[in-house]
Amino acid sequence: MFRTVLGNGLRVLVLANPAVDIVSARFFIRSGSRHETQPGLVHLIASVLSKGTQRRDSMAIAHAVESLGAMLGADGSPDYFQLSIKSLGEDFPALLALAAELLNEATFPAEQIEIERKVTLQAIRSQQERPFTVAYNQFRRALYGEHPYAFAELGTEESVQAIERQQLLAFYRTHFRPDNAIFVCVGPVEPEAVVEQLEAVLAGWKAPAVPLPTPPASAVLIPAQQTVQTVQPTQQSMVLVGYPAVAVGEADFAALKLIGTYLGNGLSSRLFTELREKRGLAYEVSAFFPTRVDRSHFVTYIGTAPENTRTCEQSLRFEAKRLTQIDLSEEELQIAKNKFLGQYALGKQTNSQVSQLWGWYEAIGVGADFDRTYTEAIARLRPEDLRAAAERTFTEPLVSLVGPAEVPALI
Amino acid sequence: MIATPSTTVQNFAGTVRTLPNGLTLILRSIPTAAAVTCDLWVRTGARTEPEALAGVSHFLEHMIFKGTEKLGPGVFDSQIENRGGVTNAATSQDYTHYYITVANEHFEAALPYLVELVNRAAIPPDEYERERLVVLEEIRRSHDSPDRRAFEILARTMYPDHPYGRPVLGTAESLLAMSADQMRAYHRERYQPANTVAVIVGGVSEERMLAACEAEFADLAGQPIPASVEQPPALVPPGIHTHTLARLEQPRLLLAWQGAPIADIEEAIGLDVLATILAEGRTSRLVRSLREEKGWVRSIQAYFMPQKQPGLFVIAAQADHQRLEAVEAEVRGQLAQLIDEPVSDDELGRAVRILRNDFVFNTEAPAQLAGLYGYYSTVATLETALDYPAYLQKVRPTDLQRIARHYIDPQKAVVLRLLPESL
Repeated sequence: MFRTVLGNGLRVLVLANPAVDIVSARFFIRSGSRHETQPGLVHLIASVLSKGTQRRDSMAIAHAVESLGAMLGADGSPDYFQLSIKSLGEDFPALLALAAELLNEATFPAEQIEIERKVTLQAIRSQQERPFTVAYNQFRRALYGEHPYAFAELGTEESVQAIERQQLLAFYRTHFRPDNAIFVCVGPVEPEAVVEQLEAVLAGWKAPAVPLPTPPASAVLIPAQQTVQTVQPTQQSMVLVGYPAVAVGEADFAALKLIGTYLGNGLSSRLFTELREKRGLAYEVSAFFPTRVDRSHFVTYIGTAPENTRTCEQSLRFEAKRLTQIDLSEEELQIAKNKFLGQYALGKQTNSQVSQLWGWYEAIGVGADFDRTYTEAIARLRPEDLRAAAERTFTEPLVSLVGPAEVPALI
Repeated sequence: MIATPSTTVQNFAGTVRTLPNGLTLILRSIPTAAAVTCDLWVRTGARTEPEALAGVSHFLEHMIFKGTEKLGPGVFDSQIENRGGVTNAATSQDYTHYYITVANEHFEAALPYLVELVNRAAIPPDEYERERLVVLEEIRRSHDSPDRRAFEILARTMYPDHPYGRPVLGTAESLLAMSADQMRAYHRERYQPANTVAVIVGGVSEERMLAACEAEFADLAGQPIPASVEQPPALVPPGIHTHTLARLEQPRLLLAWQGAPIADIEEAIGLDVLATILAEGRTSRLVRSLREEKGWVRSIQAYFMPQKQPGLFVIAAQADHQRLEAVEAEVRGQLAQLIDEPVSDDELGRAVRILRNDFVFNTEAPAQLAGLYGYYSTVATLETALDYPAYLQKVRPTDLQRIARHYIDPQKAVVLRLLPESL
């Protein structure tokens, strides 16, 4: 992998892969919805970023991308923002020039903001149609309180209504600066040529003299055990049982990721075999532990018939608690590692997957080398490491329920 | 060794063979790939079910994972996943397929498990009863998704007297009525070598692929496959159907037509191009007009869903209730224009380039290629998949006018309006 830093402070990573004629490149901005003052701000920036620059209007930008049969997308996430492009090799320089223009010269036209605001409000209402999303949103609200992680990336109806154009511009000017950005490119390219192209198209992109924005305060999580519930006339109950968990790079991070694999990944995972295969309680049952710069959360969940809600909640609690009381056997541990490491490797088959992973690691502060050190850390884990991480994490759960009214309230 | 001559397939950088028992092998080595995908496609799905066994193909897919006499429940999953591999399966109207992706070095160890599992399913009675609960949960879950409900209603409306109109999952009633014996008989009947395509794509040599396949597939005994429903679906008269859906927040508008069967590949590709011109990207006709300029829809999509028998061409919008009629009128107007006036070369070029590049983007990983080869070989021919880009280049504006007039005439649209219960 080729790595350099441009004069304007932009970090650049390039991997030449001549095997396919597909170039995947991404700009990562190291600021996401965690840095926003109003929920939904970063999502709205992502929606409007490609809808006007000093040189082109929305249709001209769309035409430039679509006439190449290429892809250009902007996305806000909790910890970062990304602008991604994908094209055949020959179209890459033109697309890169366009991406640079968006980063440096976006104008956020007022009428485009209104269209995207309206669409976002509709999308927020549509979230209510998906029981898992309702349950997860309600979980985050209860866990994170005042912290921005409390909100879905779309924001809330009230917050999105209230966003002003001036706020979009202020966030864009404050955070979209080369010394707060990373560029990653994977494909049939010459690294030196990519750097030359970048320098040419980003000549006007300079870091302002003011210091980088200060990171937001760390999350204060709501520790008390509680159950939050939304009543909806669904056929299934959605049961989430979750716990506050460590940020990326903290001591228990790798152990909790491996526990996530053991409990929730694939057809041979503990939750799948115990709750679905042996007891037929669900079609979907799983666990996840998002990678976050600030304090994260570990969630187990299941969709089940309403009369099984209580049984499933107790079983999910039991499976996490169990890991605080037993050590996995060496064989179980090895199986979990094989599964984790094998599937991690399978997650790097396309140029887009590689550019996403490395850019993301750079953006969240652990560096692209985390790709190696992380997997090494997984390979080193011992049974007692998992147990210790479980003891520190699986204390009192926060339970989030969505389902019909007749489900007995659980305390 | 089994001396099956390789079938010559133009433009194919791999090997196609038919074993004496009728099983088709499609092998392609990609030396730079770190992983290999084995994908078994069986020509059986909701379309090939007797009505009394509605949902049996999908339920059988679940039961296949419950093992064989040699492999207990869960052994297959753990054997693949313990090697760092992934596995899954899917059932549709026209096919059921089972796939594993593993690192190259595990290929020879993993393949026998897949072959054993798919061909020698035991369907143990106690597991059958338990897994039925899981499928019932899957049905409940699908009922909680307005988009799945919308598609179910659409299929029922578009194919009232054809298996395509039935949900692939079946119904609670049909599942409770069927027995493990009936499922075993269905499995014996349908899971025949001559009804199966095995696709292997990835970073091992063709010699290794061929050796492993001959060892695993050659001794599968074959018997004739019973004929399945080949009666094409009847056309549905145009009209407007209104339904209410519980928990719907955003009304949906769907306009649908039966399209070409996938074997009519030039027509099918024409429909793909028309869908792209209508609704792919901000400069497409409907997105530009309805989302970007008027702001009447949250989203609008057009797609052609190919099938062995006539598939569906669908235009789907999400909009506020008071806008549905105006959106529908705009869609009808745009369709009429597509029929009346040839599209410009620029617009056609844009659509062809988008579809051609999508094709390239979707063939980067072995699993994607295996899926492409398997799908087309199952519902049409491998050549259809390989020739897709060439056919795309041949599309002319006059072809599009003719195809639009034939398949997506606005006068013949079947319209579905899905509204929240509160309206």
